[in-house]
Amino acid sequence: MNLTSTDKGSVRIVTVEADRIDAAMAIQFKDEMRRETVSGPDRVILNLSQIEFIDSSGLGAIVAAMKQLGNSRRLELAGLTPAVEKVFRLTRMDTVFRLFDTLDDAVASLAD
Amino acid sequence: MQATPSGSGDTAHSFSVSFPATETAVHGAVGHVCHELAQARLSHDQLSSIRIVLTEAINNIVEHAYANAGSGMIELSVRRFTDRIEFRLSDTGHPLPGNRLPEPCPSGLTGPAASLPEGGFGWVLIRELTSAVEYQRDGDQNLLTLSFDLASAD
Repeated sequence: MNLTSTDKGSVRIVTVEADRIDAAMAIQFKDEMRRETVSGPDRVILNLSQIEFIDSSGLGAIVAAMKQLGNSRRLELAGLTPAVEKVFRLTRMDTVFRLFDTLDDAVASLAD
Repeated sequence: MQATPSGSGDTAHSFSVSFPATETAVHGAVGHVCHELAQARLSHDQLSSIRIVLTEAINNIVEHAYANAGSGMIELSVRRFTDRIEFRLSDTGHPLPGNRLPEPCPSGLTGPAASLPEGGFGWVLIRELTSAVEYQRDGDQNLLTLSFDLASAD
Protein backbone atom coordinates (compact mmCIF):
# COMPACT_ATOMS: atom_id res chain seq x y z
CA MET A 1 0.00 0.00 0.00
CA ASN A 2 1.14 3.43 -0.87
CA LEU A 3 -0.35 6.81 -0.04
CA THR A 4 0.39 9.68 -2.39
CA SER A 5 -0.50 13.29 -1.60
CA THR A 6 -1.15 16.31 -3.77
CA ASP A 7 -2.11 19.77 -2.56
CA LYS A 8 -4.62 21.64 -4.70
CA GLY A 9 -5.15 25.10 -3.31
CA SER A 10 -6.46 24.73 0.21
CA VAL A 11 -7.08 21.00 -0.08
CA ARG A 12 -4.79 18.01 0.35
CA ILE A 13 -5.74 14.99 -1.72
CA VAL A 14 -4.43 11.69 -0.35
CA THR A 15 -4.78 8.79 -2.77
CA VAL A 16 -4.62 5.23 -1.48
CA GLU A 17 -2.72 3.14 -3.99
CA ALA A 18 -4.07 -0.28 -3.08
CA ASP A 19 -7.08 -2.40 -3.92
CA ARG A 20 -8.26 -2.81 -0.34
CA ILE A 21 -7.91 -1.66 3.26
CA ASP A 22 -8.46 -4.67 5.49
CA ALA A 23 -7.38 -6.03 8.88
CA ALA A 24 -3.94 -6.98 7.56
CA MET A 25 -3.32 -3.41 6.37
CA ALA A 26 -5.23 -1.26 8.84
CA ILE A 27 -2.33 -0.34 11.10
CA GLN A 28 -0.05 0.49 8.18
CA PHE A 29 -2.79 2.69 6.72
CA LYS A 30 -3.22 4.60 9.99
CA ASP A 31 0.53 5.17 10.33
CA GLU A 32 0.93 6.32 6.75
CA MET A 33 -2.08 8.62 6.99
CA ARG A 34 -0.56 10.21 10.06
CA ARG A 35 2.65 10.84 8.10
CA GLU A 36 0.78 12.28 5.11
CA THR A 37 -1.38 14.61 7.19
CA VAL A 38 0.84 15.56 10.14
CA SER A 39 0.66 19.10 8.83
CA GLY A 40 -0.91 20.80 5.83
CA PRO A 41 -4.30 22.05 4.71
CA ASP A 42 -7.29 21.83 7.03
CA ARG A 43 -9.29 20.00 4.41
CA VAL A 44 -8.09 16.53 3.46
CA ILE A 45 -9.79 14.47 0.78
CA LEU A 46 -9.10 10.76 0.92
CA ASN A 47 -9.28 9.36 -2.60
CA LEU A 48 -10.56 5.80 -2.33
CA SER A 49 -11.26 5.23 -6.02
CA GLN A 50 -8.77 2.36 -6.26
CA ILE A 51 -10.18 0.63 -3.16
CA GLU A 52 -12.46 -2.25 -4.10
CA PHE A 53 -12.98 -3.55 -0.59
CA ILE A 54 -12.77 -2.51 3.04
CA ASP A 55 -13.66 -4.49 6.14
CA SER A 56 -14.57 -3.13 9.57
CA SER A 57 -10.87 -2.76 10.42
CA GLY A 58 -10.37 -0.65 7.33
CA LEU A 59 -13.38 1.42 8.31
CA GLY A 60 -11.99 1.85 11.82
CA ALA A 61 -8.65 2.93 10.39
CA ILE A 62 -10.36 5.62 8.32
CA VAL A 63 -12.17 6.84 11.45
CA ALA A 64 -8.83 6.88 13.28
CA ALA A 65 -7.31 8.88 10.43
CA MET A 66 -10.08 11.44 10.80
CA LYS A 67 -9.50 11.69 14.55
CA GLN A 68 -5.78 12.12 13.95
CA LEU A 69 -6.51 15.35 12.07
CA GLY A 70 -7.91 16.96 15.19
CA ASN A 71 -10.90 19.17 15.63
CA SER A 72 -10.08 22.00 13.28
CA ARG A 73 -9.34 19.83 10.25
CA ARG A 74 -11.65 17.54 8.33
CA LEU A 75 -11.40 14.33 6.36
CA GLU A 76 -13.70 13.85 3.40
CA LEU A 77 -13.95 10.75 1.22
CA ALA A 78 -14.11 10.50 -2.56
CA GLY A 79 -14.56 7.76 -5.12
CA LEU A 80 -16.20 5.08 -3.01
CA THR A 81 -16.72 1.92 -5.03
CA PRO A 82 -19.98 -0.04 -4.47
CA ALA A 83 -18.65 -2.52 -1.89
CA VAL A 84 -17.02 0.28 0.11
CA GLU A 85 -20.16 2.41 -0.09
CA LYS A 86 -22.13 -0.58 1.19
CA VAL A 87 -19.95 -0.85 4.30
CA PHE A 88 -20.33 2.86 5.05
CA ARG A 89 -24.07 2.74 4.52
CA LEU A 90 -24.74 -0.38 6.62
CA THR A 91 -22.73 0.96 9.55
CA ARG A 92 -24.30 4.44 9.16
CA MET A 93 -20.82 5.89 8.82
CA ASP A 94 -22.08 7.59 5.65
CA THR A 95 -23.69 10.09 8.03
CA VAL A 96 -20.39 10.85 9.71
CA PHE A 97 -18.22 11.59 6.69
CA ARG A 98 -18.82 13.86 3.77
CA LEU A 99 -18.76 11.56 0.72
CA PHE A 100 -18.22 12.42 -2.95
CA ASP A 101 -18.77 10.11 -5.90
CA THR A 102 -15.63 11.29 -7.62
CA LEU A 103 -12.46 13.13 -6.77
CA ASP A 104 -13.44 15.91 -9.18
CA ASP A 105 -16.71 16.41 -7.30
CA ALA A 106 -14.79 16.65 -4.05
CA VAL A 107 -12.26 19.15 -5.31
CA ALA A 108 -14.92 21.26 -7.01
CA SER A 109 -17.04 21.43 -3.92
CA LEU A 110 -16.43 24.30 -1.54
CA ALA A 111 -15.49 23.65 2.03
CA ASP A 112 -18.37 23.75 4.48
CA MET B 1 -5.22 -23.64 1.81
CA GLN B 2 -7.02 -26.88 1.15
CA ALA B 3 -10.16 -26.90 -0.98
CA THR B 4 -12.42 -29.90 -1.11
CA PRO B 5 -15.55 -30.41 -3.14
CA SER B 6 -18.30 -32.02 -1.08
CA GLY B 7 -19.48 -35.48 -1.90
CA SER B 8 -22.76 -35.95 -3.71
CA GLY B 9 -25.52 -34.36 -1.75
CA ASP B 10 -28.60 -32.32 -1.96
CA THR B 11 -26.94 -29.28 -3.44
CA ALA B 12 -24.70 -28.28 -6.27
CA HIS B 13 -21.78 -26.00 -5.50
CA SER B 14 -21.07 -27.35 -2.05
CA PHE B 15 -17.47 -27.33 -1.02
CA SER B 16 -15.18 -26.62 1.87
CA VAL B 17 -11.84 -24.96 2.41
CA SER B 18 -9.46 -24.97 5.32
CA PHE B 19 -6.74 -22.42 5.92
CA PRO B 20 -4.53 -21.06 8.70
CA ALA B 21 -5.98 -18.42 10.99
CA THR B 22 -3.71 -15.53 10.00
CA GLU B 23 -4.64 -12.04 8.83
CA THR B 24 -2.82 -12.57 5.57
CA ALA B 25 -4.68 -15.78 4.73
CA VAL B 26 -8.12 -14.21 5.01
CA HIS B 27 -8.15 -12.39 1.70
CA GLY B 28 -7.11 -15.44 -0.31
CA ALA B 29 -9.53 -17.81 1.39
CA VAL B 30 -12.51 -15.47 0.99
CA GLY B 31 -11.43 -14.75 -2.59
CA HIS B 32 -11.41 -18.46 -3.38
CA VAL B 33 -14.92 -18.93 -1.99
CA CYS B 34 -16.26 -15.91 -3.90
CA HIS B 35 -14.60 -17.17 -7.07
CA GLU B 36 -16.32 -20.54 -6.68
CA LEU B 37 -19.67 -18.90 -5.97
CA ALA B 38 -19.29 -16.64 -8.98
CA GLN B 39 -19.65 -19.81 -11.07
CA ALA B 40 -23.03 -20.27 -9.40
CA ARG B 41 -24.34 -17.10 -11.04
CA LEU B 42 -24.67 -14.88 -8.03
CA SER B 43 -24.88 -11.15 -8.72
CA HIS B 44 -21.96 -8.80 -8.03
CA ASP B 45 -24.00 -7.33 -5.21
CA GLN B 46 -24.56 -10.74 -3.61
CA LEU B 47 -20.91 -11.68 -4.00
CA SER B 48 -19.76 -8.44 -2.42
CA SER B 49 -22.09 -8.95 0.53
CA ILE B 50 -20.79 -12.50 0.98
CA ARG B 51 -17.22 -11.24 0.81
CA ILE B 52 -17.95 -8.74 3.59
CA VAL B 53 -19.74 -11.29 5.83
CA LEU B 54 -17.07 -13.98 5.50
CA THR B 55 -14.22 -11.51 5.99
CA GLU B 56 -15.76 -10.13 9.16
CA ALA B 57 -16.57 -13.56 10.63
CA ILE B 58 -13.12 -14.92 9.81
CA ASN B 59 -11.39 -11.79 11.15
CA ASN B 60 -13.21 -12.39 14.45
CA ILE B 61 -11.85 -15.94 14.60
CA VAL B 62 -8.30 -14.82 13.83
CA GLU B 63 -8.34 -11.91 16.27
CA HIS B 64 -10.46 -13.24 19.11
CA ALA B 65 -10.89 -17.03 18.99
CA TYR B 66 -7.20 -17.48 18.25
CA ALA B 67 -6.21 -14.14 19.80
CA ASN B 68 -3.93 -13.30 16.87
CA ALA B 69 -1.63 -16.16 17.88
CA GLY B 70 -1.14 -16.93 14.20
CA SER B 71 -1.59 -20.65 14.63
CA GLY B 72 -4.73 -22.74 14.35
CA MET B 73 -6.86 -23.65 11.40
CA ILE B 74 -10.21 -22.46 10.20
CA GLU B 75 -12.57 -24.63 8.25
CA LEU B 76 -15.23 -23.05 6.09
CA SER B 77 -17.89 -25.15 4.45
CA VAL B 78 -20.30 -23.76 1.91
CA ARG B 79 -23.64 -25.36 1.15
CA ARG B 80 -25.87 -23.96 -1.50
CA PHE B 81 -29.62 -24.49 -1.36
CA THR B 82 -32.20 -23.12 -3.78
CA ASP B 83 -33.16 -20.21 -1.57
CA ARG B 84 -30.00 -19.63 0.46
CA ILE B 85 -26.35 -20.37 1.00
CA GLU B 86 -25.13 -21.65 4.35
CA PHE B 87 -21.61 -20.92 5.47
CA ARG B 88 -20.29 -22.88 8.40
CA LEU B 89 -17.08 -21.77 10.07
CA SER B 90 -15.36 -23.97 12.60
CA ASP B 91 -12.25 -23.37 14.67
CA THR B 92 -10.68 -24.67 17.87
CA GLY B 93 -10.00 -21.31 19.49
CA HIS B 94 -11.50 -19.63 22.52
CA PRO B 95 -15.28 -19.58 22.74
CA LEU B 96 -17.34 -16.44 22.35
CA PRO B 97 -17.81 -14.78 25.74
CA GLY B 98 -20.71 -16.45 27.51
CA ASN B 99 -20.69 -19.12 24.78
CA ARG B 100 -23.11 -17.05 22.76
CA LEU B 101 -23.36 -14.38 20.10
CA PRO B 102 -22.85 -10.82 21.31
CA GLU B 103 -25.93 -8.71 21.93
CA PRO B 104 -26.48 -6.04 19.31
CA CYS B 105 -25.56 -2.71 20.80
CA PRO B 106 -26.44 0.63 19.25
CA SER B 107 -23.35 2.40 18.01
CA GLY B 108 -23.10 5.98 19.16
CA LEU B 109 -22.46 7.96 16.03
CA THR B 110 -23.64 11.28 17.40
CA GLY B 111 -21.38 13.39 19.52
CA PRO B 112 -17.90 14.75 19.01
CA ALA B 113 -15.60 13.23 16.41
CA ALA B 114 -13.02 12.39 19.03
CA SER B 115 -15.38 9.89 20.61
CA LEU B 116 -16.41 8.03 17.46
CA PRO B 117 -16.00 4.28 17.72
CA GLU B 118 -13.24 2.68 15.67
CA GLY B 119 -14.41 -0.86 16.24
CA GLY B 120 -17.46 -2.99 16.78
CA PHE B 121 -18.71 -2.63 13.24
CA GLY B 122 -18.02 -6.25 12.30
CA TRP B 123 -21.09 -7.77 13.93
CA VAL B 124 -23.28 -4.95 12.57
CA LEU B 125 -22.17 -5.89 9.05
CA ILE B 126 -22.66 -9.62 9.68
CA ARG B 127 -26.17 -9.10 11.03
CA GLU B 128 -27.20 -6.69 8.28
CA LEU B 129 -26.12 -9.01 5.48
CA THR B 130 -27.22 -12.43 6.75
CA SER B 131 -30.70 -13.85 7.22
CA ALA B 132 -29.60 -15.97 10.20
CA VAL B 133 -26.56 -16.38 12.43
CA GLU B 134 -26.11 -19.31 14.80
CA TYR B 135 -23.31 -20.07 17.16
CA GLN B 136 -22.56 -23.31 18.99
CA ARG B 137 -19.75 -24.34 21.22
CA ASP B 138 -19.19 -28.08 20.76
CA GLY B 139 -16.41 -29.56 22.89
CA ASP B 140 -13.32 -27.60 21.91
CA GLN B 141 -14.84 -26.30 18.69
CA ASN B 142 -16.59 -23.09 17.76
CA LEU B 143 -19.25 -23.53 15.10
CA LEU B 144 -20.68 -20.46 13.44
CA THR B 145 -23.38 -20.84 10.80
CA LEU B 146 -24.22 -17.88 8.60
CA SER B 147 -27.22 -18.03 6.27
CA PHE B 148 -27.29 -15.84 3.20
CA ASP B 149 -30.71 -15.48 1.66
CA LEU B 150 -30.61 -15.60 -2.12
CA ALA B 151 -33.98 -14.00 -2.71
CA SER B 152 -33.13 -10.59 -1.28
CA ALA B 153 -31.07 -8.02 -3.15
CA ASP B 154 -28.53 -7.19 -0.46
